[in-house]
Amino acid sequence: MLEVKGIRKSFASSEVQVLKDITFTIETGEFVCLLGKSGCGKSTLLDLLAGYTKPDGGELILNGKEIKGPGIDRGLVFQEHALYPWYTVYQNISFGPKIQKKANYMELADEYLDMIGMKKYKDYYPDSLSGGMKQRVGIARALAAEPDVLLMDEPFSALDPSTRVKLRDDLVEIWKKTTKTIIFVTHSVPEAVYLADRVIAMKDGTIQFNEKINIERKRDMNDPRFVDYVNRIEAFISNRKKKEEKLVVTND
Amino acid sequence: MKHHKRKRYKVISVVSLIMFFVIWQIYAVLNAKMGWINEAFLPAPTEVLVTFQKFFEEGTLFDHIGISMIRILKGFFVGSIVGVVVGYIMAKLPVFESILQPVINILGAIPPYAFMPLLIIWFGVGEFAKIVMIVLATFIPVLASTIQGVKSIDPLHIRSARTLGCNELQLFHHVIVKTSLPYIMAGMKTSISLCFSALVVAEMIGSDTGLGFIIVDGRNWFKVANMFMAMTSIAILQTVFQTILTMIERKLFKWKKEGLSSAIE
Ligand SMILES: Nc1ncnc2c1ncn2[C@@H]1O[C@H](COP(=O)(O)OP(=O)(O)OP(=O)(O)O)[C@@H](O)[C@H]1O
Ligand SMILES: [Mg+2]
Repeated sequence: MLEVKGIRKSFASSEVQVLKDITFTIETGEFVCLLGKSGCGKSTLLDLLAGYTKPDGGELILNGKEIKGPGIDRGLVFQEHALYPWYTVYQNISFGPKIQKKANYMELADEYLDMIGMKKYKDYYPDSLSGGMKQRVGIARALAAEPDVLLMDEPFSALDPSTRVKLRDDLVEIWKKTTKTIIFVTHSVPEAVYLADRVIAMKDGTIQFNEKINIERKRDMNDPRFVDYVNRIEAFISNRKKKEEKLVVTND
Repeated sequence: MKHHKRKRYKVISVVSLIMFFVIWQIYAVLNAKMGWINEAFLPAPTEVLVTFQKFFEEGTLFDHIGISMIRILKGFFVGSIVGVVVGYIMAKLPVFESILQPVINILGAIPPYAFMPLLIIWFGVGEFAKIVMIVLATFIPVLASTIQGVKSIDPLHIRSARTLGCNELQLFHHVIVKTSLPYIMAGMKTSISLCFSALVVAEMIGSDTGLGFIIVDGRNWFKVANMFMAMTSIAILQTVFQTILTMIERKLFKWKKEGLSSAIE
């Protein structure tokens, strides 16, 4: 279980307080999507969860232990894949367990290599892979280190639409197999509704929306319930009370 | 298809090199007949070969080459290490960079060869001054490329390494070294040619051994063929050096080549 309690964060260089009071809880094995406008502090929150930065106030507790810095219990997948170009696909995936001196690092690497369907590309270097393949390898690399939580910061937003759609389904499959807790940041409301058990939306430094998506998988974007969720969440984020403000931009 | 083309260009290059010597030889033969210029000014390639043989038979050829090689290796080795260490510290600690960079900029603006007479005054005509000369020539390019390499490290690579469980040493090995090595190697390749220039200057000014000495000696005693022999040796040695470095580079940075070739296709 991940507990986020009253997190505050601001940066020395900017006047505004990016995170004012962020509080929510995520159950083990839950797939949560984090939504919000550009600049609302999604990456800031993810960096805090990853332990790369420290909050000004509040508590971050993962499975009863306070998060104090980067750790192997949290895996990261970035928008830019961040694979090591000097290592092959296989070496990238086995990197985490090997570094941690796990005896079964080869089995782990094989397992996740298989899971992302890239056995054939085992000995390729990242620079010779397509964007979608790189992102798959990035996911496998994070999973092979066997974290409790997978933190993903807009992992699909640099991909072309068809690859993106494919990877969404693949991610859901991987999640079902591994039963990891996933926190997935995205700009796209339909993407969030498609993927998540629960959607959390941020605005003005606080959580404005936190609801379970009660639609069975695999979800259909034309399902009236789906459309309803999307409309409601978009209304929350864009704050329709202010007429002059534009409706939220989605990526789809 | 691509492979084919590359092969053809290689053949052209080899033919060009052979033609260079052939034309030179033809010129020398014609000049001997027609007497355009003093024959001694530009000896034929065959005469240079004869000179090689003469030095070889005297038993001094490999002495001179060996002495020059050892000087190069010592200076290059020390210069590279100092460049890498100082460069790494400068890239990691901004304080050091702001202290050292202006001084290095000033010193770097002076051609290293200008230091040679000064080095002789300070350290005498012995080996030390010559090695220092070569170190000076190696140092700056390696330093600059190390700084560039360390600064080009992707912060996301560091972040993911931490999350995947790297300690400081593992981070250094798997991320910092891996990122900066290609830059360092490029700097070393640049400094090789500067090294040879430094060697020749050092041996021309205060030496009675080495390839640079043969060149000055050739001028003093008007033995132009000796000069050509020494110059040819330098060309060969430097080519060997560059080739070795390129081979190491290819082996070490296979990942770069593969990525690049598929990017072109
Ligand atoms: N290191 C930093 N120093 C100063 N300001 C920062 C820093 N990191 C983020 N910010 C500011 O904090 C705010 C939130 O940034 P953040 O990157 O978390 O937004 P985001 O929700 O991830 O946006 P996007 O969807 O565009 O990725 C922005 O206004 C940004 O300018
Ligand atoms: Mg962001």
